[in-house]
Amino acid sequence: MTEPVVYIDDEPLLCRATEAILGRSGIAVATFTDPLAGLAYVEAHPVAVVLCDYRMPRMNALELLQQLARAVPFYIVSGELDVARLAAGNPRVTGVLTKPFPAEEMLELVRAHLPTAG
Amino acid sequence: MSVALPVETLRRLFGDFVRHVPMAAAAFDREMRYLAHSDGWLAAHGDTTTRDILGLTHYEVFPEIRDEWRELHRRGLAGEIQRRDHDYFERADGRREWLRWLVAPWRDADGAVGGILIYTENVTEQMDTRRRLDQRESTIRDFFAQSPLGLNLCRMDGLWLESNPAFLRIIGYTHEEADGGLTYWQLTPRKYDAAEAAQLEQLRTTRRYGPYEKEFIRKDGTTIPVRLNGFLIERESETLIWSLIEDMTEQRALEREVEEERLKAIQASKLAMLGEMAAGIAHEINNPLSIIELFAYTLQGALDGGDAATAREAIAGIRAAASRAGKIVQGLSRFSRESQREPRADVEIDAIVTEAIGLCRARLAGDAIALTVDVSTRARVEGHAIELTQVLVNLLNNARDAARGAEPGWIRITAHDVADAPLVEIAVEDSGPPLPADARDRIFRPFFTTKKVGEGTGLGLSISRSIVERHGGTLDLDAAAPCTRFALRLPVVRR
Repeated sequence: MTEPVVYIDDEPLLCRATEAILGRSGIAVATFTDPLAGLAYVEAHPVAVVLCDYRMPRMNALELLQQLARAVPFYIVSGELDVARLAAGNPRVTGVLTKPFPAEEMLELVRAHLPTAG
Repeated sequence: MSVALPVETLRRLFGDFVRHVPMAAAAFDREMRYLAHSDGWLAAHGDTTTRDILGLTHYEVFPEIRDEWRELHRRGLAGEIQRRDHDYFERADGRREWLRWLVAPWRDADGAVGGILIYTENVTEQMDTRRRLDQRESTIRDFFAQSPLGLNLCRMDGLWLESNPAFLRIIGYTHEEADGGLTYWQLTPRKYDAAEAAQLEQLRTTRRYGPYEKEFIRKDGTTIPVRLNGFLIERESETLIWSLIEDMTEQRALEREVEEERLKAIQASKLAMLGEMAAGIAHEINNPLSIIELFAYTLQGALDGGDAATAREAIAGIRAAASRAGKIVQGLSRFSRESQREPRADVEIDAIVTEAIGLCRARLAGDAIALTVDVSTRARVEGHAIELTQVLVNLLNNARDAARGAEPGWIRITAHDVADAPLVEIAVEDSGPPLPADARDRIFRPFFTTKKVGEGTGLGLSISRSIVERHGGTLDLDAAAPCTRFALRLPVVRR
């Protein structure tokens, strides 16, 4: 079994849609609407890549990343206008996925971090 | 019938009769020698002595007598009776007097002119009084004619009796049309019936009315805003009403201009606020768009694979997301709509709190600020929903800026009925650092801000307070609260 993709977003419908897309493509995915639960999961399990919403209750993506001890590919997903600027210069941010994005873009990005694609 | 008296008696009678005439009177012979004179004669001519002038001529006694008087005397001696009711006379000592006089001949037993009789009376005082009255009347007439304030006298039944030109200009009628022809009620729109009754009641109880703002219907059918003041007077046992009428057209135009400026300032402040919230709004819109995109992709796959269950879930997700995006856009367009001339309406406190939170929620979430809402009132207030929402958005934005970075970061918004008063209080509290003491006093002033350059205009709170005050309420910083707490109190129309 491949290491799952982790998707953290306080928006349940986005989590659900991501599950549906990745699931149908045969990609293991774990989604979290609670950033702290997502953080705990990533700390404790091997993961292929983390996609994390920027704006969430209690903490934003950069704050979550700060608390994350492990090094993992980390993408910020956001509808903010200035997140790319906020993330620039942070070496732990692999990239930014700007909402709204085509589903193909997410699939492509995720696949790049999966062993089968390598 | 005549009584025969002895000559000596007649002589004495004549002397006493002339002496006691209560004016200046004197009898002369043909040579203008004094035969008799009244006690007041010398004094009336400015002579304060009591010298004996009998036998002296008039011209010896008063050398200043003018030629025109000498001519009068000659004509009297010629048999003519002359009189003047007021004649101007300048004495040798410079005194100016008005005299009433009569010069008449007297005749001897043969019917020939024996001399003349002169009667003069000083009427200077009466003349002065009359002149003063004339002057006062003309002053009042000028005041009435030239007053820029409309003046009108009317009967208790409203019939106009006297209107000055300023008032006639206001109503557009001529003096002939208005006075005696028009009544107050003919030019008063019916919508003022209740107000008129109140003013009449005030007039009855205090004998005065006004200041009363209303409109008159002009002759051309247009209405004109006026301000009235008035009082009762009694004239020939009839009670009449004097009214002072001020044309308020310019004043109203000025007020409209000020109101337009105020609305412009509110709108500008709202747009500035929207600018500050743009990031949060983008997030709120982009999330549903992402959901739609992802579920549409899923739907495509589900259709290709014949997976009806997944297709249905995707469709439900798309619809939910579209509806949410629609709500956000509606909220935004409601909020940014110009609130110009929008009539006041009943506004539910609960609804504006929900609306404001809807506009700010995303922004708060992104900054990891916990928002608690506690609305325990069902109160309604009278006013403009958008303006009141703007006040709450402003308070929430300020709270967010203050609480951002605070540990813990929270905002509390509460709304409850105020005990013992028909008021509702909405409060916004935050966990941000306390405001510096010097900022507390100045925070409601225009252009004052504790935010960094580019983050605040310094207009939010001053405009918010002006909005709240226009709603008959108050907006204050609660100095007694342990945290930063802004309290907004509004009069309730019903609970």
